[in-house]
Amino acid sequence: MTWQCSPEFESLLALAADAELDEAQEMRLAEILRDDPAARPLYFDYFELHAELHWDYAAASMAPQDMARSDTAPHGVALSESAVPRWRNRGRLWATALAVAAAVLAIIGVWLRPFTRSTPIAIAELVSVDGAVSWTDGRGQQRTGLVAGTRLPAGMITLEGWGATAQLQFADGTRLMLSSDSQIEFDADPQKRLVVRQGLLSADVAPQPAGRPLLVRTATAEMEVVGTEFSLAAESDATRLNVQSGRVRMRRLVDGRTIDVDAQQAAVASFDRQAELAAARPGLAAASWTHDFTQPWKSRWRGEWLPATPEEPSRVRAAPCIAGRSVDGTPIIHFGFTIRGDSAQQLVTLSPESVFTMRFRSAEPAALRIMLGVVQPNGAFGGNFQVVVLPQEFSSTDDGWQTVTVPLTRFAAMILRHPQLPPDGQLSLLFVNTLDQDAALEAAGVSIARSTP
Amino acid sequence: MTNRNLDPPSAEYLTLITKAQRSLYAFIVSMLRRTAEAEDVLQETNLVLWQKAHEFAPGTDFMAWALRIAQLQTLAHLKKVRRSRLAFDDGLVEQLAEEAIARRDMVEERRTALARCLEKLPPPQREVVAARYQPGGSVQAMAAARQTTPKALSELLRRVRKSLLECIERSLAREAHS
Repeated sequence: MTWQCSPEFESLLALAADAELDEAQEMRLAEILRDDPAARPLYFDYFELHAELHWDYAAASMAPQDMARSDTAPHGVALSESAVPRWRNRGRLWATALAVAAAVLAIIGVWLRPFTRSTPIAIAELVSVDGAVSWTDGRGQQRTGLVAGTRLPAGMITLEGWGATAQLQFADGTRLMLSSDSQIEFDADPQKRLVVRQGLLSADVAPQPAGRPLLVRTATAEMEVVGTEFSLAAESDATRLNVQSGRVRMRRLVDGRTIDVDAQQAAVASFDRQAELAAARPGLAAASWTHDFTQPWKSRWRGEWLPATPEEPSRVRAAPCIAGRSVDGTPIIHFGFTIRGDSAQQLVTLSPESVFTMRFRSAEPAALRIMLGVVQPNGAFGGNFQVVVLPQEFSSTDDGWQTVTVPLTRFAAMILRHPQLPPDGQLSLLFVNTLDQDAALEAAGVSIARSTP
Repeated sequence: MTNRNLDPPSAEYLTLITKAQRSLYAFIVSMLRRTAEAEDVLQETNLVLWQKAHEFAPGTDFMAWALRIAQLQTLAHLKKVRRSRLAFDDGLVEQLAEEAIARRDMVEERRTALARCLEKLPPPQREVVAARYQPGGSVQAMAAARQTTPKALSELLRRVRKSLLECIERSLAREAHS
């Protein structure tokens, strides 16, 4: 007797077991199971196998005392004849442990929730992940290299590197989109509480139970969300809130002042109690922007700022930046600089006619990667876009500096969900780097402007 | 003998729950297909089994009763997470649950056969299985670590799983004829 099924069905089963099934494939799998009674026993065989393997290997990783065998696989899992007795022994051990626990708790009159594994309860799922995303529980336990489908208990999610994004979904359907260098904490309380330490957050909040709005806290503000779409940019000294739909109540922490921010409005809360706390329709940034590095460098910008001297212009020198992490957690370092919009205003309004120009030099020839972080006019995340320019495209001048000019039409989307530049997209972050080559890049001026026909 | 509502479950009842864990887990995985979610639903099922200990009549089919509870917890979980109901709607999930419960007596035999079949796998294939099924294991992570593509890893896993399933079938066939 052989285990036989059609190649299509077997492929769908494998994709489902490895969490690689897309929606169309899931529908096809369901259709086969619904229409073909002979497929269902094969389906059960497959997923019972999947469950047994997961049970055995996950349990073996928690039972190091069982691994002291002469016949072990490279990953330390005992695969000899002890594979069968091991779980039987564990069954007897659990029965004894549960009986003892039940007796103790019966004396003190407290119910104990029976456990199968000593793992915290997962309360959110990573729907999508790009780049270096990790989770910690605040007690030192850390998980790195997270992938889509990972279920997470309460803790803190950290995104490292400019291109990192993560989408988190809670059981009630509330979705959070994090991007760029962000840190957000969430807990397991029935009333959801988020602490955004830094970064960019967009949220689509499912209607919350009466009297238990979602609470979001930053360094400078606390927001109450009943059920709405909003985005916020959290910095160490200011929080910018944009509400796409619904209403968010914002409280400025420095003085307790509170305002309601309605749909299509924005507000900024900082530590400046003299500043007006008001909700208003956000304006667009200018259509052109130039930075010549004569202005003071801001704390959240990356790179080594060098003020002008009699011999040299003001400029920024590339610094090491975490671009991501490999599977084993090793940071991936790129060399570049970043400029960000702030809570009051983004850098520039982009259009397909926009052109990026930079005056720069480097100690050795190196390709340039230019990356743009974009938000929509309403503050929601609008996508990341990038282009790689090779040295042969640079223009040189007599003073040792070079120029690169790139139309925005050459920039490609980095996130499939945001395949195109949004209309009136606002540039919130510029990252220029020489990838992992430390070429001592220095930039003396960058600009983005509309090209004239 | 039945337990009063406020008495802790008996040792016999605890033993039944303990023995049922793997089968309950396998059942929930076959409903959800996602092992991480299945662990959560198994915890919820155990809690209900604990709370309803006084409703179970000793001497009756515990496994069937426990699987029904697991079925209800699974359906509740699917409603909670708002997973797409277009594909696996309530009707299909309930049909799968009925048929899974009906074949529960085969699970133990298949489990024993699997243990023997794992021993017969060549070491490289056992290593692939171990890498995939250890905590945190995934096709993407394995592909990155081995510097190959997820598609190539998926194909390898497909062959290994099929090999195990065929081995299990042969083993059961031999048992039936012996």
